[in-house]
Amino acid sequence: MRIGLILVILLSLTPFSSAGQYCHEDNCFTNRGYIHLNEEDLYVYYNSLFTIGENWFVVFHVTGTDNDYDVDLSFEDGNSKSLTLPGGSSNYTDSVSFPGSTFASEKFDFNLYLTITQSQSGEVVANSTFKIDINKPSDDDMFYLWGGMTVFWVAIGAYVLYLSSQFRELNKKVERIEK
Amino acid sequence: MKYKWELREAVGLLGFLLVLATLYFGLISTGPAKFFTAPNAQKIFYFHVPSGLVTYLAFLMVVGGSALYLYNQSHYADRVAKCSAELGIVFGFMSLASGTFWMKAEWGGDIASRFLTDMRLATTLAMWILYIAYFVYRRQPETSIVKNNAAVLGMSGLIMVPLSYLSSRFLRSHHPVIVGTADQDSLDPSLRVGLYMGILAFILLYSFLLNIRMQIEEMDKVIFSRKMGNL
Repeated sequence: MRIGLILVILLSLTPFSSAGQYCHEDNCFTNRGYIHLNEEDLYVYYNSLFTIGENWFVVFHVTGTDNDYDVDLSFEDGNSKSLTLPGGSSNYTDSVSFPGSTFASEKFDFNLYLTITQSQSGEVVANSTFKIDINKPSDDDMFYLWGGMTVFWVAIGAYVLYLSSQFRELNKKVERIEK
Repeated sequence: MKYKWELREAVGLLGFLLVLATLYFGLISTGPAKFFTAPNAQKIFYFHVPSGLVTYLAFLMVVGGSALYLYNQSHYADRVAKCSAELGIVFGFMSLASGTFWMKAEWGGDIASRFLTDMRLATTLAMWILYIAYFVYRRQPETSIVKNNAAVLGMSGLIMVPLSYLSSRFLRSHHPVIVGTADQDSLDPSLRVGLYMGILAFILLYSFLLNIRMQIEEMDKVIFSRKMGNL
């Protein structure tokens, strides 16, 4: 019974464990931004390269928060995410993730707008713009696409050649009979 | 006779143009497909599905021709069965080979074990091999016994075609099922246009090639009878 319960708990936690494969540490990001809010220091960590097909994170680390802040992140094409940084703790870290399917094609110097609003007053305390590159990884499956397409053309081409050789052979036979 | 030639060429040309249009639609007009592990290899879909459907059509023609031959000894029906089996093998090869490329990109794993364990793949391969046996059997002098035996063998498609088609619905298979399911409505409109275009293109190509193959068969018969007359 107890083992069964443990198994159920472990199985129910399995989907969340996949999040562990993504690094949230400072050293996992190529860029660090600093914004001074009213009384607090906010550090924003992000990668300047968004790879299509891979989740992309922005990590926020705020020190000495007394106020609640609403963070809004929006790309120039309208894709946006938001989160709240709650007050009352000396150090608080949270992150926003964009799925790898957010973009389908490459873009360079793509704008990501960051707006931070104080929750209580609604006052915009910081505005910032980050520029990132959206990269499309090499297409490993292109080989299979061309393989599949080649099969079609080779098959139809070979069959048409076979039919034309049959025609030629028959015409020769007809000529021989007529002679 | 002249009209028949013009119609056949028009059908062939239209089929070929539609194949090119399907290529344009599949490769250029629509971007990489979403929700697929291999979004580029997914474009094989536009040729894989039509060639698979035409394979079924060709083998069903063999069944029809064989049944008619067994019923009234119609030599025309026998010729249709013989020529259609050849085309079924060609289109079946396209479908199986292109499907293998797509499967390797999308599912990965070992190709041989996939063919042994996935019922859609196994039954389709079995059907294809069976008609290769039919084709090989017909490459001998055509006596009435050979034609009768071939017609009986050709009738096996009556079981093999529905078995292959329905295997992914009722037997163990990873092969997706679209026609007649809830997924049919969820098919992306751009995908649907390319698919229907591809199906029409392949049916026209099949009709064109079947007509040519039938003409060759007819010519062969005439030459044979002339030769016999000269002897």
